[in-house]
Parts: sequence; C-alpha cells; structure tokens
Amino acid sequence: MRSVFRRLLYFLFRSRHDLDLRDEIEAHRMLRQDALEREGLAPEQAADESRRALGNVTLALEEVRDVWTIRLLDGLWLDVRLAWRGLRRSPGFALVAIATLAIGIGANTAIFSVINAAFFAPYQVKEPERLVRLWGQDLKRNILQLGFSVPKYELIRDQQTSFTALGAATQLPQTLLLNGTEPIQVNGSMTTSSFLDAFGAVPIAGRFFRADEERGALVAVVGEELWRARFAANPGVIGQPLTVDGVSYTVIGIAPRLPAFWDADVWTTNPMQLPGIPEDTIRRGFSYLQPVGRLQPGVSEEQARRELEVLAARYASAYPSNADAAWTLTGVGLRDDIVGASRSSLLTVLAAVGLLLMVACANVANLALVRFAGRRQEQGLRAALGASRARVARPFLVESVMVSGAAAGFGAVFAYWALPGLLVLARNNLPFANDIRISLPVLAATALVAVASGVVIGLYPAVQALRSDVVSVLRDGGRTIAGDSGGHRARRAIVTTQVAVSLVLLIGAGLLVTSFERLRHQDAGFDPANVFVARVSLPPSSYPDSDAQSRFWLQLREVLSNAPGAAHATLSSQPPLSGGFTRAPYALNEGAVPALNERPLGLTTSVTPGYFATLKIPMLAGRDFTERDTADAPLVAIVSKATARKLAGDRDLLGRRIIMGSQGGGQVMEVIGIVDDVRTQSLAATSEVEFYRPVMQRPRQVMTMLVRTAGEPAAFESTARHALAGVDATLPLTGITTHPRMIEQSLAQQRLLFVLLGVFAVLAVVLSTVGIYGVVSSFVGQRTPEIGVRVALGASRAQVVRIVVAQSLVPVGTGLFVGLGAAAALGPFVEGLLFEVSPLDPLMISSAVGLLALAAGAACAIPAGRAARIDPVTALRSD
Amino acid sequence: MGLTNTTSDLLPGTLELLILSSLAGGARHGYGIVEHLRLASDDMLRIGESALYPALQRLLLNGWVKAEWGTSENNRRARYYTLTARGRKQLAAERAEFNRMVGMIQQVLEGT
Repeated sequence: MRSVFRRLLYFLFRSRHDLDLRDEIEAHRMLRQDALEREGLAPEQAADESRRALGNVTLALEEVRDVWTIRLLDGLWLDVRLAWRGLRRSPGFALVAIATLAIGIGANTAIFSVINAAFFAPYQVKEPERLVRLWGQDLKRNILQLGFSVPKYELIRDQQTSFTALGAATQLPQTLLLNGTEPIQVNGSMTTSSFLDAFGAVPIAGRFFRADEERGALVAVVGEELWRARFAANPGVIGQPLTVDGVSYTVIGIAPRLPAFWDADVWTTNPMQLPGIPEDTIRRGFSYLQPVGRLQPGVSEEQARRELEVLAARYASAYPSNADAAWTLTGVGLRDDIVGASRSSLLTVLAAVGLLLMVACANVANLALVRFAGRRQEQGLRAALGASRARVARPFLVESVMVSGAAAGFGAVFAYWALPGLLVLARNNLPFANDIRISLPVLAATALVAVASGVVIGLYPAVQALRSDVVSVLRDGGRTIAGDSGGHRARRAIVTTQVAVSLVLLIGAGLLVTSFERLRHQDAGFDPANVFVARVSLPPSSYPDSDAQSRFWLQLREVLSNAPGAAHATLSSQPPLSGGFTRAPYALNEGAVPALNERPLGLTTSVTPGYFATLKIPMLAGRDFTERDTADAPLVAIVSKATARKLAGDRDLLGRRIIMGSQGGGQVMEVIGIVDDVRTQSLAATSEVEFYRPVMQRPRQVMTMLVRTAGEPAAFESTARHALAGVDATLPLTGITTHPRMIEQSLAQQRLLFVLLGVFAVLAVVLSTVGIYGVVSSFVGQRTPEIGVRVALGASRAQVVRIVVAQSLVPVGTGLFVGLGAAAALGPFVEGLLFEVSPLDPLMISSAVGLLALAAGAACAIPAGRAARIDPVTALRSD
Repeated sequence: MGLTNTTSDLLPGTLELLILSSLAGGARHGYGIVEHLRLASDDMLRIGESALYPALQRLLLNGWVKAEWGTSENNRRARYYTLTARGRKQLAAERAEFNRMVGMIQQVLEGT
C-alpha cells in the first residue's frame, strides 16, 4: 500500500523527479570521469569513456519511468487532455451537451436536497433513531392521530419498560414581553421536566428542567432560534426574568433547535394543567399531550408497540369511564413521523426528476453518437497502431464524464440559486424545510449522478469501439458500420426511450394538475372570499376566568363589526381549513346513552354570534347564537347537517338534547340550530360530524377573528390592529392572513407537486422534440443521395415526406406504446396523490398522447420539408 | 576489459540482490555501488551502469532503501542510498532464496 502512495507522489512531482535523476546520473558520470582522469586519461577521453561506461541512459530513464508510473493514471491524464482538446474543437456540442445535462442534473440536485432534508439530515439530538413518537388511535372510527391524556401518560410513564426516558409536550402560541414592554407572539411548548432530556437535546447554555420543577416552577428555557434572533445569542440572558403570557419566569437555559415541529421558542413545565381547561376535563381523558420516548438499547420499535398495546388495555381497565379508554396506542419512529404524509409525494418527485435526467442524458447521448460517427476513422487508426481495445474505448467515456462533470458543476450552482424559489412554492409547508440546503451529501450524490450519466452517455460509443472491426473501419472511412449506419438503430432506440419517459411525465403532470384544480374548486361549504383572518391570544394572567375571556371576545367582535370596511365579523376557535381542530365525545341524550369511553368524537368549535353569517354558511333550521347564550343560560349547540343525519336520521334534531365533552362526564345541551356541512379539516375530506358552541359556554383562550370586508381583506390589517388596541392595547395580533390565502396554504404540498411535475414534463417534452428533430434531421442528411435518386426516378414530394415521417414513426410510436404501459403500471403508486381523478383517466391519456404526437410531428416537419426540396442533381453530386 | 553485462545476462532479480548486499556495509552512491561490485567480484562483474538506476528506483519504490543527497569524496553532489530495516530483511530473504535456487540447480546437475 505504501508503494501506491509513493507512486502517487511520484505522479504529482514527476518532472522534478526526472530532473533529479538526470542530475544523479550526471554526477555518477562525473565520478567515473574523475577516476579515469586519475588513471591518466586526458579529460576528453575520460569524458567519452565515462559516457560509454554509462551505457544507454535514455533507456534507463524510460525504464525508471516504467517502474514508477501507475499506468492507469498516466493513460487517464492523457485521455483527459485529449478530451479537453476535442471539446474545445467542437464548442457547439460541448455547450449544448453541458447545458442540457446541467438542467437535468441541476433539477436532481435540488430534489436531492429536499430528500436529504427529509430522510437523512441528522437531527441535532443524541441518537435520534432511538426516538419514538407515541400516538393514540381510535381504530373503530378510523381516527389515527390522537394525543395522550394526562392519566394515560402518567400510567404509561409509571409502568413502561421499553423506554429509558419518556417525555410529553403540548404546544401553544404564547405572548412574550420583550424588554418588559414589546409583546411578540412566540411558539411555546409546555413539557414534562423529562422531555428535553428524553429527546436527547443538549443545552447550548445553562440547563434544562429538574424533576422537581415539573409542577409549575417558574423557570423557562429559551429556544435557540429566538435566542439568536431576539437576544443576540447572549448567554447572559440566563438568570434573567422573562414574561410569558403575563407570568414572570426565570431563564435557566438555552435549548438547541429540535427537528421539525417539535421546536419551540419558549419551553416551560407544568403541562398537566392547561389554562382554560377545567381539571375535570383533563382527568377524564382530554388528550392533548404529545409524548416521545427513547427506546432502551436492544429494544425494537415493534417490541415497544406491543408493550403499548398491553398498557392500553391496562389503562382501559384502570379508567374505564374515561373518554379515551377505548383507544389503542402505538408508536412511530421520529423521522417517519416527521416525514409522514409527504413520503409518497417526495418519492414521486424523485422518480420524476430521475426520468427528466434520463431524457436529458438521452439527448446528449444522441449528440455524442453523431460525433462518434465522425471519429470512427480515428478509432480505427489507433487500434491499427496497436492500442488495446480498452485503450481505444476509454477516451469516449472520459470525454462524456468530463462533459457531465462540467454540467454537474453548473447544475449545482443553478440548483443553489433556484432552491429558495422552490421553498417559496412550498409556502413553508414542509416540516423539514429548515434542513433543505445544498449540503455535502447532496453534492456527493450529485457527483455520483454526474459520473453515472457520463458513463451511460459514453457507453454506446465505447462499446462500439470495443467491437470495432479495424479493417472495415479504415477501408470505408467509417461511414458505414455493418448493419447500423451512423448508429441509427441506437439513436432510434434513444428516441423511443425519450418519448416513453416524456409521456409518463406528461400524464403524471396532467393528472396532478387536474387533481389540484378539482380540489381547489371543491365546494367548501362556506365563502372564504374577502375574509380577513388574524389570531388573538389571551394571557391567563390578565384574563383568568371564562367570564373575562367571553367579555373580551364579545367586545372585540362588537368593535370589529363596527369598524370601517367590515361587513360582518366573528371569532372562532378553529376556522375551516386553518389546520387546527379539536374533537369532543358526543352522544344523543335520549334513551340508552353510551358511556363516555364509547362515545364517538366530533369536531367542536367555539364561536361568537355571527359566525355563520360572516362565512355565509347557510342556516338550515333554528337560530344562531346570541349574546344571551351566556355561561349561566341553558347550554346550547348548533350542529352540521351530517351530524343531524347521523344522530337523528330522518327525524329532526332541532330542539333535542345531546351530551357533549367529558367535563363532569359530559354536558347536556339543546340543539338550537342546524347548518350546512363545511369542509373543516381539508378540502378533500368529506364532511365530518361537527358541533358549534358559543364561546361564552365553551371558553377559549385563543380565538381567530374572521371579518368579511367590503374591499380587499389584506388592507383591513391596520383597521383590525386599531380595533384590537381599542379593547386591549397589550395584545399582539398574529397569524394575519386572508382566508383564501389560508386555503391555498393548506394545498401547498399539492401545488408544489404539480408545479414540479409540470416543469419536468414540459422540459422532457421539449428535450424529446429536440431529440426527434435531431434524429430525423441526421437521417435526411445521411440519406440525401438516396432521396435524390428517388426524386430523380419520379418520386413526388409527398412520397419523400412520407419516407421521412415513416422513419420517425416507428420509434415514436413504440415510445408512446411503452410510455402508456409504464403509465398504467405506475398508476397504483400515484393514486394516493390524486383527488377524484383516476390514474387511467382516458381524456388525460389521450390528450397527452396527442400532445406528444403533435410535438413529434412538428419535429419532423422541418427535416421533412428539407427533404422534399432536395434537388436530385446536387444530392447525387455531393456523394 | 570485459564486456559490460546488461541486466538480462543475470538471473532476474539478482541485480537487486547484489545492490542490496553492497549496501549492507553502509551508504553508497550509484557510482560507489558499481565500483564495489566490480572490486568484490575481481573485476568480473561489470554492470551496465545506467541499468543500475531502474533497479535502484524499484528498491526505493518498495521501501527497501532510502536515498539522500550528499557530497561525494571528490566534492561532487551525489545521492547516497542506505538499506532500511525492511531492506535488511529483504536482503536476508533474497539471499536465502538465491542459495536455495543455486542448491536446486546443483542438485540437478550432480544428478545427471
């Protein structure tokens, strides 16, 4: 091994080594000369004799070189120099090839960075692969992502054996008072004292919570991002007071950024008590905790899941009447949980960009083949002079790898420049967006792709070189290769591949666009146009009880309704398609009422009066809430049409009683109104059971204002701030947006998907068209004499055009056929991404096929026209 | 005087063995090695002097000798070669191998 190292050193310092050796040999000769002179010879004679004694120095030097060289490296370096010269002589080819590949490789680099962030980027915590996120599941009703209630978490914590550490968190927006005066909205996380340690985070400064601080010690940890942004990364912030939601905490440490949605700006303890939620509700199974566990060494995820099943059964027997008693428990690896639903989209995009690269490589391969045809003679000559077959084939590979290497360089730069744009398209809807960057692993993957592309492109010429028959090549100047003139068979195969791939991409993009449009135009059940949206969060210190909160909300609503430019105003705890929702157990309070733990869960929203009018949700029966539906008044609820149908069937639900929630085992209330269904969760999800409660009877600390404005809703912001300040000047207005924009955000991932695929499809079609053009054009060029003969013999223009078109018919037709087959085969994989569109939608498929056929036709048009105008005289003469 | 022997006249590899053995006594430069071999063999063994150098380079490549520039006896710049520890081991090994070969050939000859 050391000899290889020495050989490398020699390779690097070759010329110096050579000079040294010559010096040494010369010194040797001088010694001989001196000795001879001492023996009595004259200086010139001595010099001659010494030279003779030395023998054949040139031969010796060559032999020395042979000793040292790594043959391979020497040969490769020569090939690189030759390739460089060759490329400089055909700058057209080099430019087009590099540009084409740069697009393909650059797109891949960009997508790699996203894939890397999702699947491979290391989390800045200890051994993240041992972390498991715990979920509750109501399998009977197919609700899969539920939190843990406090009693459940406590039972698991005390009885589990699979985890070395367990912690739980719940996130909520909080108001931080900067410098004691400036309120800003931050993401807060209330956690158990064990959470940050269980997660494997290491404090950047200070410390995390101690076990004795769990029950409401007034200490807080600041998150890294907030610390850098607002505290100038000053470690002196530790020990200082921090006012969060009106309460003063002492800062005890700085936490590093946790992966994805686990991160927070401020960490506090005491998660077992939620401000505004009665203790009774919490004890009866209100499930809001998000637990994370660190597996014991040697315990697998599967084993942990089995233990959770056992523990779920124990919980059910310990707390049989709790709302969450009947749920099962499961655990998902942390990364899988974060990547989650994006997985299929990500893989689809990865596949698509790979296909695009294939098309780009195909184009460049085509170009390389044309060049190759012109170098056959050179190859034959080298083979005749004694170069080994591998030696003759290698330059083609070296050249194509150089081209793809250069392309990769440009492509990576292009990706770096385009990446922020990509992220904007995703509208920050990717949970791992923070990790998306062109990092070293991404560049390494890019380099690999570049080399692979280069090899693929250079493969055909190289293989042809290996099989070459030297004699025939030298004899006819390489113009015909037995059975395959100018590599035409290969080029037609390439065209087939390009067409097939382009068809697959085109169909995919078309399906996604259609799906997206259908989704966007779903009737959501309400009218989001011109609705201004903003969130207000009430600190419990200033608004300690539900009365104070309700008063505030009603007052705010009043002010907003009277503000200039506002037609209607209301507040809601979870506006439709806002991404957040809570559920509560419910049942009809008649006859045999099911026990709390057997009741299904329905979406529940707290609203102020005027909600349905503001969002233009039709009221089908009964009345809206009024200010008289206070906490002391009889409890009331409004239900959606689907709810009414589920609970009452054909009979009317109006005026009947239902039992909702878990506080005190459930509260009985009267149904006073029935409204039309609304797509609250997502545009794709069909209506769920939904209940509306007046905020005075179901108090909320955080509400979102919805104001239907007369004019542009975005312009309402200053008015809204003014209105809020009029009621309470200390509160910040956050989450400011418009309802249409909020809905767009919920569709962000689908949009990103179809935009990317659309771009790839267009690029692929363009490249394929260029490829087809190239093949047909060169066919015409090659067969000009033959066409000349035909025309001379009386062929009409139409017949000539037909010949040309027929040339491309077979490869394009085959390509379309193969593409259809591939699209059909891939259909099941993308079905999950589509909304109300079948992957085999005949209209879509026929449009795509038609488009490609049109493009192919256009590509043939110019060469065909040229062929039709061939003058037989000049054509035959040029041979 | 006798014809200069080229390396092809010797059994393959013997040149290196000879060089190693001549370095066993201490550092020498190229000319010194040639002279030593000539003297030690009573003027019978004459190496084509430039043929020495590929062999020396091979020894360098394998790490059996190391080389340093120095000044020769007549104040000229020369490169001195020394045996390394591995070189000494290699010398012993090659010597043993050579003896074994010679012994084998002798055995055959005596047999006939």
